[in-house]
Amino acid sequence: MKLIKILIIVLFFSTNVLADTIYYLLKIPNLEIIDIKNNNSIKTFKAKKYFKVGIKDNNVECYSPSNLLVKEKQKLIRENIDLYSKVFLNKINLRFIVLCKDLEVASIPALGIPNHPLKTIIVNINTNDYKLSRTIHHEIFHIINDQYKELFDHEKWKKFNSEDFKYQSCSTCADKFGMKLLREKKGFLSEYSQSTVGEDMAETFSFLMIENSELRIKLQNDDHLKKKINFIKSNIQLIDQNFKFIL
Amino acid sequence: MIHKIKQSRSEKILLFFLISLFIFSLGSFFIIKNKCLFIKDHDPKKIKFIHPENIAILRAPCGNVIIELYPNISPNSVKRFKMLIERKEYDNVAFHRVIKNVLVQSGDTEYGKRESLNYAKIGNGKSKYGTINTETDNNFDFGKGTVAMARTYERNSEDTQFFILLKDAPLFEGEYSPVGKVKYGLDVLKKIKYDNKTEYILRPDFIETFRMLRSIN
Repeated sequence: MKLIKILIIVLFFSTNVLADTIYYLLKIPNLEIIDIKNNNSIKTFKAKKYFKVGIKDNNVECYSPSNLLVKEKQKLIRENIDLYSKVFLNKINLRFIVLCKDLEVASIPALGIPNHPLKTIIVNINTNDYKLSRTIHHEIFHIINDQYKELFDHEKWKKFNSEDFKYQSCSTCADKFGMKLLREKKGFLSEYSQSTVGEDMAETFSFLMIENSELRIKLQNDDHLKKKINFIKSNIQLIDQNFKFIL
Repeated sequence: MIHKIKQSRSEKILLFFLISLFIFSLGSFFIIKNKCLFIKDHDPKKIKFIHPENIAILRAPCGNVIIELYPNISPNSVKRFKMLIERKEYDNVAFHRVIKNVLVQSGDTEYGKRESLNYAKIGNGKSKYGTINTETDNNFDFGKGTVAMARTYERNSEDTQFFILLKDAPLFEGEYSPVGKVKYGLDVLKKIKYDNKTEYILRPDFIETFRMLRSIN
């Protein structure tokens, strides 16, 4: 029995010997450093080659972005990340951002994916600035939610909606991926926010982290949304009193 | 009557060649076997230190590794590290994780002891002292020779394990608590037993002793 255990250990670790220090930290292959020295200690990487991690329904495929694309988006990414303090990022346990040009999760095209155990968000930068900004904050919320599950009670959240509304059973179960602000729909900010509780929370948080004058107008006549925003804001303040929202 | 037969010139050359070959083979055998042959063993007593109270001496199979600890960078981690050294907890503990020219890791005082080495669990040991918090607030250059506390994938899970970098790893800044830097003897660490196929080592090398300088003076 002991011998079998030893063999398993040897086989398991034998693949890592030639890995680089990036792999030791992120457990993701084929990455290249973009930015590791900044105020809030978030380390940014890009895929230098295509990589695929995970198995079956949880696999993530990331294609390498060109240096030009990374250069174009780097300032925007940094501006968005700089909204979070080092203290806050340490509390939520987010350390790394991986940039891809096109991203697929379980073979479905995606703009971002969080991985809380790996302290990483993977982002598709091959999109417009609005979507990229929103995606970064959206995925960061998933990390927050995973770190502080007890704060973001899903049952409590469901009660903020009208009684006849029901979420989908998964975020990709319906063909609703729109990220634009819905001006008319009460209680929801985007098409995607109607998919699941987690996505609704993440979308709400994401809208609070970007400047949007239309949202201020929408909020004036939407009590469901006001409750949701108060819920997100008050819980985030419990994590870090000094946290600042844009809206 | 016995006739003495004189060696011919070619026989003499052959004999000389064989003897030379034997001496060369014997010499090579000892040179190859002795992995520490060209490694300088630093004597801490012959070196003057600015902060002798922060100097620790790790005795490895090929000699001394002299480490300066930085309590001003990571106060709690250095306090823990010094306490473990002073209690001789690291004596006879394996270098259980060695990645050639990258890092050596040791300090599993539960499963890494020479007398009770547990290959199945080594690297997962816990101490009776509990975990301490990660200290990454101060800037620190994670260059070659950096000594830092190892941890699980979770922050604030540092216990007794530590690693020493054999190459620069700037990515580690902000991730691990630095406790010091190797001042002398990095070559000694490069001779720690490694395996080209696995990070975890069967029949590993051990820390012979680990002492604060003041305790050996």
